[in-house]
Amino acid sequence: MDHPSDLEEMPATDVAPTGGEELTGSRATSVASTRSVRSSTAGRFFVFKIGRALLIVLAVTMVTQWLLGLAPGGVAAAILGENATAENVAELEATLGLDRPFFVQYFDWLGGVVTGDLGTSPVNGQAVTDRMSDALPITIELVALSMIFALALSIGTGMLAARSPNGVVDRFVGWLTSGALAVPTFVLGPVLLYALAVQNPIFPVTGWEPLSEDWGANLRTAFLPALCVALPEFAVFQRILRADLVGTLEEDYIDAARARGISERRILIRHAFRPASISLVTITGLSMGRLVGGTVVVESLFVLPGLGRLLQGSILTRDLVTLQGIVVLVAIVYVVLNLLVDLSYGLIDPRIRTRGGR
Amino acid sequence: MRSTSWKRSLLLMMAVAILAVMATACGDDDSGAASGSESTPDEPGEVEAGGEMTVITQSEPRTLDPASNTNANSTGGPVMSAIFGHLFIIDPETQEFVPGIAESLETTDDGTTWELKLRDGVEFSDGSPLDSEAVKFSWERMLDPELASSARGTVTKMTSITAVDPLTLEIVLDEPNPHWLHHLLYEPLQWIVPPAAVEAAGADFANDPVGAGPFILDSRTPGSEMVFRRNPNYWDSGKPNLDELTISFNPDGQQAFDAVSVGQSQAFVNPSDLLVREAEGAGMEVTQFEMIGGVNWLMNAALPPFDDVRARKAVVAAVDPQVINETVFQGAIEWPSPLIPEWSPLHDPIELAEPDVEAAQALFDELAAEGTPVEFTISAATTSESQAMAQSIQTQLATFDNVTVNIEELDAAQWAQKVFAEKSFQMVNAGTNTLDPEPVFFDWWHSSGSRNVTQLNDPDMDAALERGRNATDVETRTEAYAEFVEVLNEQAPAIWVYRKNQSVLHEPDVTGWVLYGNGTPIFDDLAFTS
Repeated sequence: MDHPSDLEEMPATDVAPTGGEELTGSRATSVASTRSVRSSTAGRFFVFKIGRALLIVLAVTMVTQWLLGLAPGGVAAAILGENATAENVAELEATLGLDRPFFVQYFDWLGGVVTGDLGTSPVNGQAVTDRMSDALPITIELVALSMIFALALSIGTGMLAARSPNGVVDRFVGWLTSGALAVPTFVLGPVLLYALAVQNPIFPVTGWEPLSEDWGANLRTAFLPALCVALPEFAVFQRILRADLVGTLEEDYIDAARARGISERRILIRHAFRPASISLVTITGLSMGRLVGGTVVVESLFVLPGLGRLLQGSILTRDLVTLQGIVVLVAIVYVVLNLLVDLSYGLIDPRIRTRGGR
Repeated sequence: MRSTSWKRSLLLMMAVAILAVMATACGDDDSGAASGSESTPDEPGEVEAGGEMTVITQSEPRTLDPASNTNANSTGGPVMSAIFGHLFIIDPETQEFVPGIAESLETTDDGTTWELKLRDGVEFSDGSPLDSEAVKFSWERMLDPELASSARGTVTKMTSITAVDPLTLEIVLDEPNPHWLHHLLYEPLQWIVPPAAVEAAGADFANDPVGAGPFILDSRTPGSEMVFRRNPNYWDSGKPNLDELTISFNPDGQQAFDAVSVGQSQAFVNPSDLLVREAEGAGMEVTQFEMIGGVNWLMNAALPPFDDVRARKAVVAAVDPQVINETVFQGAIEWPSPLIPEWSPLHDPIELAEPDVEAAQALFDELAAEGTPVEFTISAATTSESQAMAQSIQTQLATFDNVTVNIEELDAAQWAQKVFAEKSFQMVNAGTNTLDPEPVFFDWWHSSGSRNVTQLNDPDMDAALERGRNATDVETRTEAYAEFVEVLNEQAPAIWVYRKNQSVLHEPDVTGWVLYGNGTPIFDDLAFTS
């Protein structure tokens, strides 16, 4: 088995040469044919992944339409409110085309999607793409900021903890992460609001200042919600990273590095972190995908006009068109992120590359 | 080392826990916590011209087309009022007609023919004139089913709308109603749109509205807030006072309260009664008016078990609203008896039926002996108040034999479907709240009323409501509504819980709040005082 003493300096024992060598004769031919096999395999890999992704999106949107249809009360009743007499509801449903069969409605919607038209919401009369493009940047900022918080905290504390497993720092951080995992977001949010916005008005109580207007005010409105999202993620990230780091630090090549006189700090940062971060990268990708559709609680608590609240609102008003738009977006985000995560493995740990892995 | 390392961790944990508790406990006290402030300032400060104010409301209107909005402070009222202004209001305190864009609305006969006179020279913010054609256009478009207008029923009952001259509109109703003008207080009929702009913009008008109100929409962050600047072309010159008005949306009452208390906002429209009580102790002021009638829980008289009047009477006799007051509202509310309070010209001292524990149990036993014990489901709304009231009713009824109560929660779409479309509920939270009994009492309680979800069909009740509608003198009407309450007590279709107040909670240096109808604010006079 290959154990490079320093991943950066060891030449990669790749099937194909990494650079600039002159090849002659039979070796050249065999290398060339291997290259073409690899590129068509890569091509097939992409086609397969994308095809699978499309099928997933189709299945998910069909199930969404079916599920929303099961909920009592339709969008017509929601719009009409106190005027939702049986006649008015029937009339509005006919006007909106909601009395058509399931698959007619579905394929009508799908036909629009294929041409880039996600439809118009019967509830607010706005194009779904407009509504989503207003809401999405807020959620993306929230997710990005919370990932930065979560990763910074987890990498920092993970490395500190792994340096001396079961030491004071490790136990303390372990207790902290247990706490962060145990406290639900809907408890954490109000507590943070009370402590940092009401009792001590450091942050605003409610609302969102758009980034384009005043980035300082924007960060102030985003801080508490991002922290709320970040803390449970931090707990999971930290534990995974710590476990992987501890495991990696026990490998032979780390002993070899120590024997060569490399400092503990350099070993930790340069030698152990990258291979140990595979799981962290995987779970970060999964988290980001989940969070794009999963910030409902925090957005509701802090009244942020993001995708989460748009999602919640569309379910409450039975606004299928908007809901489907969000579902499509979240599914695509998830698929793309997972694809990127898959690709990144080869970048992070060349050993995966050398074994002809994915 | 091993045996003491856990002790060290434990000490460390305790130290951190103590620090955390201290950190949250120590904080600056709420600034400006004045003690014993009243709801009116001791000395009115001088009104400042201009200024920028932020007002919080609970929900964002789903569209900016006034035809599709309902006229209430809990829905689109505030935003629509800012953009479209008002035709007229009836002052909740003096019960007098106060002109707005309209100078008068009077019947020329027994209430079948009405004449609306408009103020001269009113223009929309795009310069086009607000005349009788505009009013006719605005009202007639509410018939379009796609707009799902809450005024559609009212406009359907207009036989004709005629623009007699640019400042006069004649409306002929299909049935006489000398108090018909009250309809406009609770419906989007107040909000007039410019015909040319609507026809040009089509569906887009709902995103980019043009009105004749005190403010013009400047910018909008959907889901968060709307910013308005003053309309320089407003008919009431010199008004509005403010240069800029921001209306922000927050469905959480406590957060809205906190936002005002830390100064992030200057006012909160439609706070709950509990928050109103806290406001006075937190240095804020409340402007409010009381309505007649009250918040109630309706029983469906068309379905078992409440198709039997004995079951209804048993429940009304068993549930004590005072207990709900204490457990849910901490004493902040008032039982709405007499149904029409003293300040109303139509007041009669007839009280609602009081709880009677023995009578209730006797009725429950009687029904059980017949093989039909009372069993039902309460359909609560998603608000915490509604759920808490439902739980209190369930808890109180649990102390009786032969009655079983379940609770279910309905979101808005389910509620509309179950209560109005299907009328398949057994008990549901609603309210009969209004300034004058017309038209609300009729809508909810007459057998032909548009919101008669209890489906009570009592000829005496119908007769009383018809008399109250058709009479113009105060004595006849007072008698009629007293009879109405008598029948209510006999038929027991509802548990009456508390009197509804329309309120706005604000900082003490804010003045000029005017509310009408379902608490919809008028922003003309809103100002800061120094």
